Amino acid sequence: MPSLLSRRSILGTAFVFILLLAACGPAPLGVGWPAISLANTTCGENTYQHVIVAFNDRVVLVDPADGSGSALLNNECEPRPPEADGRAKVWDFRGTGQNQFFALPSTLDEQTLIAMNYAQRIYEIDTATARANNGEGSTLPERTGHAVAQPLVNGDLIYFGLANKDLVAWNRSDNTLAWSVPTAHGVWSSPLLYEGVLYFTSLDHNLYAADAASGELLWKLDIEGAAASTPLLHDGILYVGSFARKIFAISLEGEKLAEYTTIDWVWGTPTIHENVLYAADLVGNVYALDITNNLSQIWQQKVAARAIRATPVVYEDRVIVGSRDQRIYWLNRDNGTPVQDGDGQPLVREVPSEVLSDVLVIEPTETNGVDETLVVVATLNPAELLIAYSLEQGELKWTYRYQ
Amino acid sequence: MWDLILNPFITVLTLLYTALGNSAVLAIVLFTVLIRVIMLPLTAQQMKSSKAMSALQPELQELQKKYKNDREKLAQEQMALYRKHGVNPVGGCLPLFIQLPIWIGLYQAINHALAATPLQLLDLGGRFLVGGLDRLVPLNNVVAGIDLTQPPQSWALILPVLVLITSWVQSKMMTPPPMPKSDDGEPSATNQAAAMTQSMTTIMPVMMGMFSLSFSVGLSIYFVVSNVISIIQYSRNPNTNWKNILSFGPPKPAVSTTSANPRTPLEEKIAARKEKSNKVEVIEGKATPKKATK
Repeated sequence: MPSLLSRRSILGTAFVFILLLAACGPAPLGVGWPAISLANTTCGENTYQHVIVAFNDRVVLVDPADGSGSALLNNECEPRPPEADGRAKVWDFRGTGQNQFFALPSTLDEQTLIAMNYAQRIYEIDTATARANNGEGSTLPERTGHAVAQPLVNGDLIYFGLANKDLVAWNRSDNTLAWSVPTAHGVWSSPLLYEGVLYFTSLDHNLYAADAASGELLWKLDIEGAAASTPLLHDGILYVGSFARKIFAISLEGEKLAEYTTIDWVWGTPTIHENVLYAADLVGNVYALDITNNLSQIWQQKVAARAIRATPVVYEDRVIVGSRDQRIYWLNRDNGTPVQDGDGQPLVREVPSEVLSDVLVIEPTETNGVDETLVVVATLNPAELLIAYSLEQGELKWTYRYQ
Repeated sequence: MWDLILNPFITVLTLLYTALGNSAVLAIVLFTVLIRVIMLPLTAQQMKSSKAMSALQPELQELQKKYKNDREKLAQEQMALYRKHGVNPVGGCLPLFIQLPIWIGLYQAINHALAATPLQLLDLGGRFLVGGLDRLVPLNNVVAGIDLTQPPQSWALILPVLVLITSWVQSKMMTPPPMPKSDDGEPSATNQAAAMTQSMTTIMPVMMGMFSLSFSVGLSIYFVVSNVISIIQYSRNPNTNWKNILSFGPPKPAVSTTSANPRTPLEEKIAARKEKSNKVEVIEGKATPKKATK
């Protein structure tokens, strides 16, 4: 009997525990990848450059000079006194409800960032204190659902792509929904604003153009497959990749000018350098296409064993990509072959987990304290969330631990 | 390794989606039915094996009583019993082990195809084994205002209730009634395990219902369809313990394994042997126990 009782109590406890988990538990974290970019903050007359990282339920700033958390500064622009346990006070914003940030915040003004998490909670973050000016955040009126795209700020109007469907314009001054552009599926990337027109892609297989002030739909174009990245604008032409295994060149009036067929889906926004478009696909191919000749192929290389999600980075004579195969590749811009390191070996660096985030190149400036050009990648491993290598030889410079 | 199961599943699910007029719900329902039909031989084998093991329980209990102090001998005699009746004691587990990755694959395929987050959508890339399916991605996952990738809201809250009810019926149908108490009035080890199983069959459906509040609507549809198919399968079993469905606590022990339900061929065979062996003991009298059990 006692054993039966103890079994029952164990079962009962397990039941209550699971009940709590199921009913009250937070949305699971760690199901995305870090969004990274460069960001500037100002203090007095000084400007500081940081790496900004949105991952899980936090947004943090990292010092690109040594990979430490960027210090919170006082009014004299000195680091604030450390915490009681001796830890430095660093720039670390945490949202409420343990909801993920899939996208980076955008700059609202010199002192404020605006961010939206997966639960569509909007935070206005004070860059001096790393705290939300609007407490627990606000929500979009009349809209529920999720968000994975970075907001775009245009004065008082802030544009949000919603994960379920539609692009909406939120009027920050009176907290109203100014308008929305209906889409049949989600909008997973930030819109591009050019001369009063918003250009954005949707998973519903269309590229849209809408008036940025009124939200009036100007045109939409079938790009044959879902698209999850912001279009690239170059010399008055839009370039966009899609899951139809194609890269398109499209006029600002919505006419297809050229297209190139890739081997697999193209997720990241292409990049253009000296009239050559560089893009990658989800089976590890990198492409160089001639934009002056109907996107004709200059070269194509099978670089990685797994997906290259992000935009390739082009810097001087190199193309750098990170892959889900846990490697960073340095390629020659002319032909896509691997760059050789000092020992005559391909310049490839292994990292502790897959790389899905954008790759950053950070040049030395007066605002960042970096002494040589760095390549910074983000992984999914919190112990080495960011890793910095020298651009030239791929020498490890620092790692950032996400605590 | 998982890709070998997952990729064909995702491909078939997407093909069904196209064939059924871009309806993700119908695709999930038909796909679940299809997989369960393909697994029918395995499920039947598992049911047959577990039925055979149930039929042997009285003799196994006798052996446990007889050789309670000699584990080695008990094991030998048990194996001899299994051999005599052509029963494989792990015969019920093997089909289960084969089915397990298929179930997980099915679950994963639905999760991937309905991609709710960027990582899930990214994982869908390169999984189609038939050209042209990329153009269907992502599947239209909003049905009657309900997002199939999200936990249930409004009318879809009926789904957790259906998951609970169907899980309940299925698990209660699966659970055999415990054997009658032994001569000394103590519950046997088998019955203690059965009581434990019985508790689990009460708790698990409730847990499944609770989980369905957090699972995506698409997965809840899968659970309901899968449970209904299991219920249909078990309802064809003449030994199904229907009374157990309304039972919240441990069920009453069966008065006899043969009184309420018709015997299966194996049960008939075992009962006949037992009867014959008892007769031999009575008539011959002098037969040694060893000979009598032969």
